[in-house]
Amino acid sequence: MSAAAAIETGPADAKGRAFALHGQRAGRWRLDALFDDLTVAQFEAEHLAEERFYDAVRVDALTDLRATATTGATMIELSGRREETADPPTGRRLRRWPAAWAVAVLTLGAAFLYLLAALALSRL
Amino acid sequence: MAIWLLRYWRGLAGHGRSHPRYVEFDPATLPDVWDTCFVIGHDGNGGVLNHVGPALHGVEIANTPQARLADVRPGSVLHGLLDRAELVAARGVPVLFRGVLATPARHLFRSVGLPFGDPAAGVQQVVCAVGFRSPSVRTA
Repeated sequence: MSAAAAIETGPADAKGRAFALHGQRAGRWRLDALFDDLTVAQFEAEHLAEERFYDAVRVDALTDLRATATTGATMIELSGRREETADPPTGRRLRRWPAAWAVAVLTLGAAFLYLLAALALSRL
Repeated sequence: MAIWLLRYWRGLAGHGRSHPRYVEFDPATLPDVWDTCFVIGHDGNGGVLNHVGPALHGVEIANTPQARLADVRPGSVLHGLLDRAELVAARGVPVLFRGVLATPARHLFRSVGLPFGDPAAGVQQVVCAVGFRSPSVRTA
């Protein structure tokens, strides 16, 4: 290792963000850990939820590791084994099935009503 | 390594404490990790290096007991990591981060900084483990 060896630390996230993992216990949220990698933060959040170490966990985006205020984006929120909410503009859902089912049912219902109307009109 | 150490630390802290005491940390249970760790003690006077793992010796000052942080060579790997270690002490929570050694080999590393101390006294020690892609940075 040369005498000039140094490191380049910094945000691994493409947008330069860091991520704060919070845990909720007895109704109170507390900061659990800071990450510069969303994948690792989500991995740990899912582990804590599955282990039920907290009543709920969430991962908030920060502008960088030193930031104390979040960007307002919650990347993931988990309660036990079930995801509760995660729908900010930059967030993502781990499970989209409930929403997908609602859209499918509404679409099929609308198509059925359309066919009924078309059938009724054709008999006039 | 970083996640494993984070979970070990969380197990020591348990549910009721913000961080465990340093005396509860047993390096003998994790000898491989300990080789790539450094420990900073905050004594209210700039801090001291209580431990620098053998895997970091080639890139740093010798493992001098109670070396002052001011003795750490600017531009060195450890000097670059001290900034993150200070963040751990300031926030009182683990910090996981990754980076690249600015050498021709450009070894990637992932690191975790863990706070320790008496809950009433705040963070008194920071254990920082550095997991390199290569077995040891001495060969870089």
